[in-house]
Amino acid sequence: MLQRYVGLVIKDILTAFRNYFFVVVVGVALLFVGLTNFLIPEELSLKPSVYYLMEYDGEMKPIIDQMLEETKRKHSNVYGVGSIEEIESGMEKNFNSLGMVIREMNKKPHITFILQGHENEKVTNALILSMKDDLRNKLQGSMEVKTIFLNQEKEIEKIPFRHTMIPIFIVMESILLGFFLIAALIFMEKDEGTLRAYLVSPGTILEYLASKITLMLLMGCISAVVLVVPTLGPSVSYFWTLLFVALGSIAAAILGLLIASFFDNISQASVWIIVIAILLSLPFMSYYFPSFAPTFVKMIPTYPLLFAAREILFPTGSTGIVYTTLLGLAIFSILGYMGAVAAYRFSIRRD
Amino acid sequence: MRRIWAIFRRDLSSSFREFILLYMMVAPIILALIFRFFVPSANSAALQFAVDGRIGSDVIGRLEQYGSVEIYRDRAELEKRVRGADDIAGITKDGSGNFQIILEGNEAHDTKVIPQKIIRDMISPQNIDVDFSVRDLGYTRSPVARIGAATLILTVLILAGAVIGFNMIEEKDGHTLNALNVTPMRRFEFIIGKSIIGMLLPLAMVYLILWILDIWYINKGMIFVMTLVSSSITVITGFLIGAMSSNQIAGIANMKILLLPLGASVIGALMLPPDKQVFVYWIPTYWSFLGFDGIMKNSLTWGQIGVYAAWILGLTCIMFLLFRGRMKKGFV
Repeated sequence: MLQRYVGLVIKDILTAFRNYFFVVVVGVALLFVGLTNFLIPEELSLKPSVYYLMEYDGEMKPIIDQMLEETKRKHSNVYGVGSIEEIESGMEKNFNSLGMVIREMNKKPHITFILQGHENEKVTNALILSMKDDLRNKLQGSMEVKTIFLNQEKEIEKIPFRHTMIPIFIVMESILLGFFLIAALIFMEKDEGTLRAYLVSPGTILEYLASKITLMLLMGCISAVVLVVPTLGPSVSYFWTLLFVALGSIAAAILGLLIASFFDNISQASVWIIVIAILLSLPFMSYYFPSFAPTFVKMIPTYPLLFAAREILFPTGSTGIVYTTLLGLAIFSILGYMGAVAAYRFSIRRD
Repeated sequence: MRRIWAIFRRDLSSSFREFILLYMMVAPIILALIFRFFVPSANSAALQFAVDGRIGSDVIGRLEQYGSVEIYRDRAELEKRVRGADDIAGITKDGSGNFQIILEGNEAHDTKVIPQKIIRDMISPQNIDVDFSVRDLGYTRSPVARIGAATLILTVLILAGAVIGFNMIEEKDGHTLNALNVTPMRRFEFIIGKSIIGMLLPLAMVYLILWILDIWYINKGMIFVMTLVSSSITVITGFLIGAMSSNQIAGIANMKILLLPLGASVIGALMLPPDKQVFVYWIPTYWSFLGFDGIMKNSLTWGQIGVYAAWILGLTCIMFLLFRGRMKKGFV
């Protein structure tokens, strides 16, 4: 059985090699290395740009000026302008921006926030509160509220923006490779009659599917190594990274197998493979804005995968998400593999 | 003309027979419906607070002004929630009645800082003598819906291209192309005949998607022009997949490669600073994305549509010329 499995794996590696799969996988990973190291900015703020107009000249002016200067030093996207028209034209060009006009009214400062119009009430409240708090701290001194960090064992460093994209690539490319490619392998062999020929040999469907999954695992690991070594270097735990990518690739390949089992040819399957790939990309918003976590987004498998990938590559001590995700992937892989074997046995009998 | 029509009818009937056309119509509708469901929650996204239930209803009410609040029975449950993958700030009181914020440590800046500000605002003895007011520019349409709709439209265009491509690979596999090569049919007739589905389908689907997503206020003429121009991307995608792939497995590999510039164009348009967007100018879908997004923002003039259209058509022509030889070989 083991001999047959090894034979199948070698055959699948050769097929993939002849069809330039390895070239594509390595090429795409290298392209992303280039983007990460040379094109994506090291720091990029996803916070809204602020255009402000300061027309207030009363006694609180030095405090407000100081506060604005400090904010400008901290954030590169805060701009002082000379008129309300300039604020509005800047905001029209950039949907992720807001305006602020500081004037005197009834002998005290009056701050008008100009928003786009799509912001919700809670965000607006937080904006006003934030400004009020900064002013209060300047006037009355800061009052610390006791904060307890559950992961105190290590200093958490800020991840450079360009590196925040690496977990996305690991999940969408290295892990989901198999999701795309395994269906193509199966349909090709079905069309060429290889599958039919294989079934009259002593080989079983168990080994046949396991060999395809192994190829996907191998390509996933190659893609991850080619990406991670030149971008993050030796600081990463390669054991956990490869274990994560291996289990993720197995699960993704099994998902691809299960979906492909519903269709007769690759044209039909490709529509749904693309649609599911789009759905799998919805959790990106939560990845960049982690407080956005509606239940249905959390139910999409890439949600835990993204956060687990981030934790493995940039550890913060939150190991729970890594273990839970690895366990989830292992359970899905076992059940999914059993389901895939049953589905392909049924589909072969039907044909 | 008769031959073009015959190729189109043949493609149409085979697509119907194999449910591909049905899938291609149903799949974007399902995506649009899911997206319609997704947009309101994205718009109402705010901070999250996990609160010890014993903290009092007035505090909970105050926190609800700034985000969504989840109530937990005790400190252990609260800590378990804070350790979840998403960002949520835990708020409780210690034995002497002082507020405590519980964080995991890896939260985004706002989740760390805003709870402090809320608590300071609640317990601060004095108010500050500054007035605040809010007004807006009237852009009540969510950017999430707009960006999502533009991405979905690009997906439909690429999806149609993928199906054209895989149809061609199947024809190559079935040796239909060899048979067609010895008929009087000219190459351009074959190209046009094969492209009709890819051009008509996105036109119908784009309006349907916009209607489902309730983005119906837009200039429909501009959408028509932008979709028609962008369908040249569908055609070039289809022919590239079809010509460059000797079999389905290579087709999938090529489709994967072609999906990369699509993703790069959307991410580039949204995330790259303006001076670095020049690196994605070469991708036709970048101009399509800008076009559809601008039309939905109601901020484009016909002149700008013309500029975007010129970029899209120019780039697809260049690609066609670059890969002409490869395509010729691919279909022989």
